[in-house]
Amino acid sequence: MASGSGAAAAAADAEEKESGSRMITLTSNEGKAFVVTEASARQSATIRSMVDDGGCVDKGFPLPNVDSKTLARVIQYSDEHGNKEPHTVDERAALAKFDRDFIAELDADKAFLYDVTMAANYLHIQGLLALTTQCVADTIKGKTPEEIRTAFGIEYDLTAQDEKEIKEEDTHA
Amino acid sequence: MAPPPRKRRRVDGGGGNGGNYPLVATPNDGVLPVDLLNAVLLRLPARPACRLRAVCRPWRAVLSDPRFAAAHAARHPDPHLVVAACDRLDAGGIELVDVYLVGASGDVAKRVPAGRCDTDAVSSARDGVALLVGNDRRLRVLDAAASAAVSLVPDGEHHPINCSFTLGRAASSSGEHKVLRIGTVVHGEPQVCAVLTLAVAGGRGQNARWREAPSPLLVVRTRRGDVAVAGGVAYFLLRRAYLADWIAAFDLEAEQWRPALVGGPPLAAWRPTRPDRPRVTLAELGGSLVVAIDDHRAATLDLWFLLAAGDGEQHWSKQYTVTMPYHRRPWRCDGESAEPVVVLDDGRIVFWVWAGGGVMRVYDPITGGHTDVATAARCAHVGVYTGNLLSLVSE
Repeated sequence: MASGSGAAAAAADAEEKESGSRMITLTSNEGKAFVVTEASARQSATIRSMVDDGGCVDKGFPLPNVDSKTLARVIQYSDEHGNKEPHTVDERAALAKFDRDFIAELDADKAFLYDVTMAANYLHIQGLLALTTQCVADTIKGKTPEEIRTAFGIEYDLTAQDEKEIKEEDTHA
Repeated sequence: MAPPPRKRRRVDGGGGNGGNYPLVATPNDGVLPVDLLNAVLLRLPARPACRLRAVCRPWRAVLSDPRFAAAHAARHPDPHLVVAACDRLDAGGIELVDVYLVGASGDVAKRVPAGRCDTDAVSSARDGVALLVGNDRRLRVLDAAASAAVSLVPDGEHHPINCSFTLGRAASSSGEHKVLRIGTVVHGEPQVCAVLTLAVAGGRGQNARWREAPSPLLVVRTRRGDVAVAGGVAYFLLRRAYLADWIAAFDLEAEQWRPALVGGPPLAAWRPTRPDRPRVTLAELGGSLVVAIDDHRAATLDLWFLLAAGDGEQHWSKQYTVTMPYHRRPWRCDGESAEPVVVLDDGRIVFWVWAGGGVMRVYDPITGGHTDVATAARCAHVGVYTGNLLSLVSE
């Protein structure tokens, strides 16, 4: 009995190993194919559920909402987080530094930051979504409503009645 | 085989938002769809979030929604102060310590009797866990998150008479609470250190064991205000204050002193021999190490934050200059000082002011005004509890 369960565990191990080394193809909306490890692809809950549902791993996954430039950047993140598991303090520090550098680079190009945020949302990559939404939040935190309208290309559509209500809410707060 | 017929979430403007918030169907959603806008706005502190209702109608709709308010409150719980005070005596006339959880408006959310303890016995409080060391030199832990009861640490160790205990949380994902014990200097010997991992929140920890830890390279001060824990690192002021770098750092995860000392913020005319030299204390605010410089002559209390720059380097940034009421007097009473305890979500800072007993003073950096919300006649220690109070059983 003991040996039986041992064999089962070994089989499960082998399967685990095999699925870990599988490669998965992701295709951007421009038709460009990216081959990634399954561990990297599993950073995305969207892809993870498709793989676990027995989806067509061999055919790959078309991602009609993500362009090549954005997908390449998202894969850079999921490779770093999916392919290695940090064990030591140094490894964790290295991963934290990777995140810092990754977001600092995105922060410099806001339009691209929004693209990556939306891709992280679509692909359900929690870590990346947390990183990017926090970065957007930090960007708007110190801005006035006027500055935000300019930065986000939002049209001012509040009526005089809205303004009056907001002012009243503020005095009550 | 075709790709799985999975329904895609729309990522173009005005699209699906998971049905959590009112759909705002206008062409005015800006660059982010509503569900992502929600995720971003939830990360803002309360004050800026409130101000941004004036951006446009869709933003106002999101920010005024009661469900947004509920989600925001759940994500940004109001921190409470953990105050250990001795204002009761038992039948034999011995002082009893009570631990209070006090809200930002001075309301007492909870009181936990901790039994007999020395006034100066409470060592550290962090994330709802307070460490108490009685005159029997045994460690007691108040774990507000688990049971809000005081339990004895089963370490079975006789601690030296003169040692300090610092409670902190390792930076690892497990975030273990650890206690660093530092002995007092005897005859110029190095300070003997040991570390204990606390099993809190219902952990096992039946056999807590102290592990030896290296001694600091230079002698560190260990009294309150000399110590702060931020980001898994315990920082200590050096006893020899006239060195260029005057803060030592102990990594709670690695259980090692960092080889390099930390240089403090610039201190212009700080001569350690001057009797009215500024009072320098360490604190942790918003996850950063803070050096508070209380200069009675200049009548200011400056808060310097150690912040990470883009290149991974750290730098000091003076974020607040506060004037305390005692600054208006030409002299300072003995022991009179103020320590920053926590920055509230709306930007106000809670100070604990020591003057005989303790006063909880909430300072508003925007107006420069302050409000005293609570006092404790005989206070021993103040810490911060940032957990969710809903998990606490009310007494």
